Amino acid sequence: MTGGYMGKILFVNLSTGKSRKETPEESLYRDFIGGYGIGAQILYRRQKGGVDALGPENTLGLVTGPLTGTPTPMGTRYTALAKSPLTGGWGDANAGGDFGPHLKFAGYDAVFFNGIAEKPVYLFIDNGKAELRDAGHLWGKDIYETEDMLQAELGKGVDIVSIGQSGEKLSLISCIITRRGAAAGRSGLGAVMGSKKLKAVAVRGNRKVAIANSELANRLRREHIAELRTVEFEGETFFDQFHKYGTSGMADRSAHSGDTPVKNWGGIGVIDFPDASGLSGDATIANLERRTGCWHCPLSCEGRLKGGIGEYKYPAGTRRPEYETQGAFGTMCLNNNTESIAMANYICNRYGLDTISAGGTIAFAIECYENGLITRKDTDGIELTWGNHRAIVAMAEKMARREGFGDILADGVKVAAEKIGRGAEKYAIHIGGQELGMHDPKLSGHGPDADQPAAARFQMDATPGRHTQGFGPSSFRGHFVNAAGLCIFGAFPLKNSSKYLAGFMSAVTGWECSIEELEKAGERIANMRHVFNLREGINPLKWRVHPRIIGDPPQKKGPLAGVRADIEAQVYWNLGALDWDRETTKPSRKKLLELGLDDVAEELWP
Amino acid sequence: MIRCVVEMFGLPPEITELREVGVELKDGASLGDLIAALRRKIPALEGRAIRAGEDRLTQYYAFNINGRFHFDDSELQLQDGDRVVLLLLASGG
Repeated sequence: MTGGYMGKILFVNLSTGKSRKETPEESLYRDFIGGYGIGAQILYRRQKGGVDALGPENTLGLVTGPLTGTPTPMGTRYTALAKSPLTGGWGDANAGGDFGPHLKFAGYDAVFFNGIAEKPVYLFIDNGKAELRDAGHLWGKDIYETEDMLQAELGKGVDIVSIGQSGEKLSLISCIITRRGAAAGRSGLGAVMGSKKLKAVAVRGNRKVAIANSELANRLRREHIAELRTVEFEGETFFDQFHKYGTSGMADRSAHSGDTPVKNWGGIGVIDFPDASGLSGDATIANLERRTGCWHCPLSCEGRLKGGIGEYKYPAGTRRPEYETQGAFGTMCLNNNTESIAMANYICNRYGLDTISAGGTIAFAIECYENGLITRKDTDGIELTWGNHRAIVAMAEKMARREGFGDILADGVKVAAEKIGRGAEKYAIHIGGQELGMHDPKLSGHGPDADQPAAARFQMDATPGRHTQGFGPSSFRGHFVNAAGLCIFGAFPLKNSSKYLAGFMSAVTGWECSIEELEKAGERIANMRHVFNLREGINPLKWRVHPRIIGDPPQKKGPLAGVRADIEAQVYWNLGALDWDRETTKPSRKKLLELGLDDVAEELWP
Repeated sequence: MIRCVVEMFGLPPEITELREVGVELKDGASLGDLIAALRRKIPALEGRAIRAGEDRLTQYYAFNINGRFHFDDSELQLQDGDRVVLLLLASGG
């Protein structure tokens, strides 16, 4: 078997309780790499279009990459994927922790589920042997409880992904979590898992991931880490800053620089949120107990807090919030209270709710409340006002449990706006149903051939609202990185990651990989994710892009004064570069044949 | 004479706590001239927002001039009345 891969994929039918192993052809791995590359290919081939995302025909995949669990620094990730109940199209979400490597050590590159179990179950894979077990005692438990109970039940060395009550209750913004907070957050995949009555997947194993050239892989590892340590970032090294703060080191400055959206995308940081000190890196780590990291990661950018001793009594071990959470529950809600953001983070991690969507939905609800569309009578007496951290935390818990007004908000802003009515949709900032990540596209991605077409990617990526995937040729390398199981922090800080990406793939797999081949695989992956959506009847050009996202009209003051993101030019240019039709977004027949997607070409161009 | 008020956003307090700084430039001055003037006014910008020894910004900063972003075009000519913002591009995750 080619190095890096275990050579086995597990397919589990939850309706029948039966599972089978498959040994894929090497071409699946070489052409689609891993992660959502393999996932898109499998779902497109084996699942027809138009299935109910919460029904038995939807397939949930948990997929690693060839560099997951290898000497490659930051080779720690896995991808969850399915048809998204939030957007109705392709859904994927990426997480770290230890689960990805341990799924491989248990013998599998990936596991796919279809069907729906009659009663709650969990899957236990123990060194290759897969068994569905009763999860009746776990159903209704939160993620912390689930992880504790399964570890007690199954013994040492087990790694677990699970859903909490939010996923069980089919919240469209629920997520899949491992290690008490490494979240596969986006796309509402917690609800897919909940719809299948699949509570958890536990894995354990001691199988080795074959490495074609260990000596080369380990040498590259030393060189890669040494080079990462030299990268300067804002007065210190990237390595030192991220080890110390994770992504939370600059959220206060981002609130004022125009990067983080403010006040539900309608504010200006320096005017509406002048004191952002509660979001500073030092404030966020003031209660830090220890630093830790994903499997064998040299950066180890995670933080765990001591127990909250003030107003917010989150338990010891709660994860230090990351930048996206600080944005969603902080800047978006005009909330400068550090401890409340830690508490909201804990609630989301405990119940299994995506912090980006949850915070964004609360910001929407605050704006509705401030404008009289909803009142205390609607919100169970909670005064949803800007910066009211107690209200924000209280509503986060109600959303997580689908209680009272939280039930209205638990499916994100699009559904909440439909339920509230009275013109609430004007405050619902989403694309295709998904709330946006905390990076204002007006700040970056300038010009159609910019490094990252920042506005266009939110609209045009197969999972709308994401800032981590991309659109156009500039996204191809990133798609490879994601599919390979790498954390983006191992690649993007480097001036030239080509040497390491191609080097590690070659050393691990034994293939002679060039960066061009890997980027071509990334292009192939981008096309597969996109054609999945086309088959669902989605044309991303028809997604509504809220004017606040692109600055229409532009803000008059602040860092983004006068800026309107030229999303139209970004879309137009990149569609041309992709050779996708500029009206239908269909990839050309020529492009599909060039990528070896002959059968897709026959379907789209009969 | 070009009179320019440069607003600054996202800069760390150890560089400056100022939110804006006024600079005077000769007619026909370029963005490079503006950067040189900023360096003289706020020496701590050098090495952080401004490349050491060069009249260019570092990779993590940009100018918003009249609603358009400029990163590395030090030859860009400025006009009196231009609205200039210096801001941080880098962030977390």
